[in-house]
Amino acid sequence: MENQLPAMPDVIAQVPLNNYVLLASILFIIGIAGVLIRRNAIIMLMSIELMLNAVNLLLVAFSSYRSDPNGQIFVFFIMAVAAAEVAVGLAIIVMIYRNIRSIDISLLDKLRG
Amino acid sequence: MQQQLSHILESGSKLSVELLLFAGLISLILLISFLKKNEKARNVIWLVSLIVTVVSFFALTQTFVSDALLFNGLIQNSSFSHFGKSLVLISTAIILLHIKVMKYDLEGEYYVLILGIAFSLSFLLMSSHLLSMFVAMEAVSLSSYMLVAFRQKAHNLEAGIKYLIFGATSTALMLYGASFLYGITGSLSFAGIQQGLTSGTSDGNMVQIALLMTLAGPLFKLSAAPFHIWAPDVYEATPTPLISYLAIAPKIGGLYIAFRLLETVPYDHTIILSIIILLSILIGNFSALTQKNAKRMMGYSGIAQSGFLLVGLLGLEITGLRASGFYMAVYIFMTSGAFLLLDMVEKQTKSFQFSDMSGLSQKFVFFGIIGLIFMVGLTGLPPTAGFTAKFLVFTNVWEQYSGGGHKILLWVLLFGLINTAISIYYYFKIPYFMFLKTPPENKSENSLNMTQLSLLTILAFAVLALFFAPQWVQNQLF
Amino acid sequence: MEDWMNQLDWAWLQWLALGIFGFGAVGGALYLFFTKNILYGAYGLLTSLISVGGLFLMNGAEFLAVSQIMVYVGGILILIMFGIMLSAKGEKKEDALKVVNVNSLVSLLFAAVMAGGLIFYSVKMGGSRSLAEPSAEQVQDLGMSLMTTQVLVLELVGVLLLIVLIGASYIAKK
Repeated sequence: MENQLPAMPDVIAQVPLNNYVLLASILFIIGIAGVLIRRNAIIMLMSIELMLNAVNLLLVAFSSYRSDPNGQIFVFFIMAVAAAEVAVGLAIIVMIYRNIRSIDISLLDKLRG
Repeated sequence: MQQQLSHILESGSKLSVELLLFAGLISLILLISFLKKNEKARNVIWLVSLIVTVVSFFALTQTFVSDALLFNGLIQNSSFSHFGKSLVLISTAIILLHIKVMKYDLEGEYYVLILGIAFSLSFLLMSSHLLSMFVAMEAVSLSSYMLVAFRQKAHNLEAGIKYLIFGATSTALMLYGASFLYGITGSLSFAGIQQGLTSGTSDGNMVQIALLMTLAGPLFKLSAAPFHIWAPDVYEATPTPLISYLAIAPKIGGLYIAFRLLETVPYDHTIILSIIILLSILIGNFSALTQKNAKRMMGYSGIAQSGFLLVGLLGLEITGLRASGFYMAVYIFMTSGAFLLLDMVEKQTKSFQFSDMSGLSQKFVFFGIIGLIFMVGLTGLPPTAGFTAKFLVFTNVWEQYSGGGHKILLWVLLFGLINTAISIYYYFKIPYFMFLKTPPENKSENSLNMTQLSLLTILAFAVLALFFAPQWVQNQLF
Repeated sequence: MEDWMNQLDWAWLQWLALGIFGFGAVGGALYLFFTKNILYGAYGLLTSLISVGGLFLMNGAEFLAVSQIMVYVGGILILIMFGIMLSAKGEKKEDALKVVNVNSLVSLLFAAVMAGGLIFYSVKMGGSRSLAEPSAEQVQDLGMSLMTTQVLVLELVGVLLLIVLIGASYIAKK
């Protein structure tokens, strides 16, 4: 193939950074609202994953616009820790379900005062 | 490449304490997998974890402190982190003794988590880079969530999932703020961020918001407002020695990281920090007033104490930091002592309700007096080190204010003093019920265990001794 | 034919891709937020995660995009599905999948304030700067960096995962 595609960087530079920041902010806000409003433990965990994804998107965008690989490495570690967090959360949720047959946080009111 | 490898090897040789803790962790795991599941094996595992803690502590006293950056700027072994690590190891040893004297028969996995928290905290206390801070902080958090849920009873699991969801949300907030700091400055290391902010022309408000979001992580560790909501539930549900550990150890790391982050961003933080302090003190104190359960009361009072701990960071002066460090050291002895006291009371009365403590000290006068020392210390009255600690942090505020500081500092001072007075009411509930109420008639006559009483006496001695000889700790401070 | 290829407006394509992936990410998230069924919520999350992976690709992070699909979609999401299945069995199956919303007003207000602030700042931020030539051996650079500059953090994550493995399996046993 003789014809060269235009070099990638020129193309990327045409989408301004603030679009990514805006998108990440929207995802993050949906995640926060999900944690605050929904009362099902699994949905809350999924909303937290959404927030972490917004962070990942932001870091990758910043990292590519600064052409600095450190941001991408940060994303790796966030992924690893997020997986650990979900594993712990689901272990607890499954045990809660075995104990009281529900995972609705609002039903969990033994600890109020 | 060659240079990189030799730098890594050289940095590794300076981590003797962490390597010892890690070796201990691995040997615990091996012991758990190969020993039989009986009481003798659990005693061996307990003993190994205590030995590891004590040996690491002595290794720490032998290590030479240098401010050099290790591992390409990921961590930095400053004298402040050296002091923090010694506090972490001391509190770990106290909690291990607490577990033993109160005859808790815990399985080996508990000790893995306890040592794991100590191990990750010692990295958290050295971190000088957002990456190492994040991973070490998450290691502490995840171990704490699991420790809370470990007993598998319904209310432990409930407290555990609430703790996890709160913690993960504040971690996400922290990461969001941190990624903005990265986006603004293009660096992940604290030094690089500081440099980028001082030299570059960045939007001040935006940096402040990013910093505020980043602070969510350490404030959650400190259980300071507005990230305090988990505290009372978790305090109430978790077994006493474990919550005693979670009430002190993560706060050391949280305080250090809060300081490092505030120091990294070269702006005036007086107003933000003052608001956090005022909120923590007010929420903690006024919610503690109405509690009927002593452990829940300790949870709310822990929020207020975090506020007092942060007071030393106002102005980011070295004297204030030393005051906060001293406060932290005293807080360890007071809090672990108070929890040991509550645990011993619970052994007698089978409950943590104040009303059930009636008249205990009329039976055991010495026990009551020791208990009184901890409560006087937590309130902050002489002749205990709690007074010295509060005096030092408030002196810092006064000096900041009289040196031309913002007006809000006066409010911090005023509210701090008023709330110290208010806290007399709830802290003295315990001695009040123990001394002045008449005991119910049908109480079984349990005698006090001497080893428990002697550990309690040692802790009380530390709280008293640091009032008369604060230089014991202050000489260790940077 | 070749001329046609050269004259195609690549910037336009770029915007289209951003639109598609952005729509997928936000749409999936909103679906997760509004759905009444956890399982459908997980599908919403799946859409969102894959779209974010696509956005990674657009930013020249190919390796991260692949790990995004493998770790999140292949690992975390499967784990969540298992969690849903394990907690949705038995006689009260419908109860476990049902979702109730509480204190929506205060939380929505809080979220709206935060959203306003963040969107204001992200619009204000701007910044379409020119990009340096991405390194051809990007994956190699990442690997070298992980094994030299960031090796300590890599080891720390290893310890973290070990502790979590022990703790989580203890919690879930019996």
